[in-house]
Amino acid sequence: MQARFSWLAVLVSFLAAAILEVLGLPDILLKFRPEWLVITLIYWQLRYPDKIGISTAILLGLMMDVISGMTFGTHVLAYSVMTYLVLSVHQRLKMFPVIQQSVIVFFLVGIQLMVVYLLSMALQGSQSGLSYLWLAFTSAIAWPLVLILTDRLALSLR
Amino acid sequence: MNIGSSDKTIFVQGPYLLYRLAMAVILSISLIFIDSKFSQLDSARRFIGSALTPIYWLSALPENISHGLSGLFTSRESLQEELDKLKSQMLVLERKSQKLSSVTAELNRLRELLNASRLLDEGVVVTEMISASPDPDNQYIQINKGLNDGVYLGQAVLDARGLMGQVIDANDLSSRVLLISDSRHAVPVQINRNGLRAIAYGVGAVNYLELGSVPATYDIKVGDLLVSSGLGGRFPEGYPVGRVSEVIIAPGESFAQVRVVPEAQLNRSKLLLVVFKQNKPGTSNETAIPPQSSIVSGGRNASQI
Repeated sequence: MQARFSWLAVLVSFLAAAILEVLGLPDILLKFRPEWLVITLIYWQLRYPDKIGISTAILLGLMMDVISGMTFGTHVLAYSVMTYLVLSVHQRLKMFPVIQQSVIVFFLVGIQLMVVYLLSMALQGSQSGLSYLWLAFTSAIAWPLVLILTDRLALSLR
Repeated sequence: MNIGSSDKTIFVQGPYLLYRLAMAVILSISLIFIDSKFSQLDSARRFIGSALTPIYWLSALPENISHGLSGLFTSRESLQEELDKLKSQMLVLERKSQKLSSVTAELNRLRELLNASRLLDEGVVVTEMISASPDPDNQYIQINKGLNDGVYLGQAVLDARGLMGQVIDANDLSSRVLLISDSRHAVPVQINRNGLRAIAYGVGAVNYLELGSVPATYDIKVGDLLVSSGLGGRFPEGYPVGRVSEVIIAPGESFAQVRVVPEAQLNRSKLLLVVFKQNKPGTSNETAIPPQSSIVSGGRNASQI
């Protein structure tokens, strides 16, 4: 069931992820909000590694820098480093069962968040400790969901 | 599950990928450098921010719909009840405002006698919060008024009870407000009871602020109301900031540790007010805030006190 690549599906899924990313939530849930944009990016990189690569990561990074109000370039750097990691293991990652993929997603999102938080600590002096690992954890849990939903979307919009 | 395999994909690996990563790293590091040292990228930020407005609008849509639906199904009795309550509240407030207008006029006359520089009464515009920052360490909210509505950087934002924060970033349709509880924010305040001055620092917690450098001998008590002092030129004078909730004087320490509960409902208010300073010619010595002052210098220039 190889869906043809469609930019429409990519756009719709990234739009949905961005909306989930800015959705107003009670404070307690904010600490556990999965990194929707990042896992959607990982999904498309695994599906179409020749189409969705570092340039997409740069565009999304710029967008996320504006959404989060951080210094320009913070998310660009984090997303491109993560994209490099995804693209260099994508052949193996595709063969893994979903649970194992979730574990890898945990590490990928964790590395991406680490870059963002280290930079924001250096540039803006914010103190956050290791609480961002929760975000990586919930992202790993959300991975199978994204896999199923975006598969559906890609099939219906091809 | 065998996904997305085509023979082309083998070649995304290898040296090309590494070159592209190197380019991206160089790009992002130069972006970081330019954005933190210069202000050339602000227009790009404003442009992307305006382009992202539909996302904020869509993310607020479910809440607006549910709000509209609940309005549709409210019973007549409860509406009547609410109307009565609001009417009686309005009477009380009208009586207060009658007194207030005469007091304001008198105060302005007295200030004129004293050659004071500013008159009371700023204009306000009602705005709605459209999203909160996803990151608890960066306490921002997004409001639905932007440069097109006359919002400017450094503008004070209030809710019904007190000071919320200041505008730090504005695009054409929306703007970003840094809350007074953010750890990079500070407000110059004075105690309403006796006029003593202090600076209220945010600590990153929504439910309290801390007063900096309060001598242990200061006349400050639990329950004191703190209002903005207007010093530093950023916030208008006289708006409630918070109430003192805790004063700890440790023996041997020269400074008291004072905690303040913000009056504004920082994590609950949805309808907010943006305050416009009325710079009447000749009556004000406050010029417009330089658009490029950073958050820290903006908030912390209270040290001029």
